[in-house]
Amino acid sequence: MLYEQIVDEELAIMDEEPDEPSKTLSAHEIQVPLRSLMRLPVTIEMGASIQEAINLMIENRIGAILVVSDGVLKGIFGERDVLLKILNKPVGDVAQIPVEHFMKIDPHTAQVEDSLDTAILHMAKGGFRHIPVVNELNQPVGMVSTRHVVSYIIDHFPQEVLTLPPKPVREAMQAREGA
Amino acid sequence: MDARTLSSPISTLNLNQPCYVEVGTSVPEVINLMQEGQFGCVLVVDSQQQLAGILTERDCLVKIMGKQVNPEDVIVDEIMTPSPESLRASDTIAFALNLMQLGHYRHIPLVIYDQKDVYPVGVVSIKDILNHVAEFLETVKEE
Repeated sequence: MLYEQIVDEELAIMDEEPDEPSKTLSAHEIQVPLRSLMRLPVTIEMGASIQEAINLMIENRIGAILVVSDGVLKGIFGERDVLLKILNKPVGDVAQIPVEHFMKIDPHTAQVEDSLDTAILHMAKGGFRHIPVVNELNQPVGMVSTRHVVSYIIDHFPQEVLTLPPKPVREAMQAREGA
Repeated sequence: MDARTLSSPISTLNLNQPCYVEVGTSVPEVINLMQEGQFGCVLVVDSQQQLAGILTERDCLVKIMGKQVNPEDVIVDEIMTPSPESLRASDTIAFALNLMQLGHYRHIPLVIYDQKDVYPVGVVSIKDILNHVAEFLETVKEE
């Protein structure tokens, strides 16, 4: 009978093992070029003060700034440098000290055609949060940060991440536990 | 790396022990602890050891250096983010990613709930997620 056949089919579907996750991120897919996800660099000239560098980082809501001389990358200065080298230290007036005193000289860089997976491995191994992207003249053309890695994963798994409620639903569970 | 990775609990990540300070601690003392242990954030607890707030490197940058405040004059309560968003270690990595993206956070306290009390037990950082992805890439390379 048709009805029984439909019920059997339904039961068969219910018994099936759930599919393997259809969405995967292969290493190959993390080989996207940095040009497709980097942001524009925020730069400051050598000779500018630490305070100016900090103010630029705050205004632009970024964690690191690139220090240049005539457009060529010389160093990187970030939040970590502020925490480890400046706060609580007798450094003097930060409005007078040039940024190059506390920047990291010749940071690890990447080029626009380099892929995200290489950048991720460098960040993890070196403990960097930012990698400047430069052209063949060593002029900054972009910046990639840990935040780009997170955004890339989320863009790849929007179904799994973006459809979540902002917080796990646990109030109801707690009420049950307490009852 | 697939959707299942994201549905794994945060506790499966390789997490570091967090740094705790009590409310009322002076900011220079907190900065010392952050420098010594290379912590990107500290969890601030009240006298009952409940989570009161979080103080990050970013807070130090914006609220001390940006406002040209003398840290000697400040206690941690004045510049921490009070009652921060938190997750449980058993929540999924996807939740951590979602919260980091929505709130623009780099650190999320991990807590246990006891009725209305919230006790911190750890922190998950954006770096933990990065390292997780890097481990995956290393594994694939070796294969």
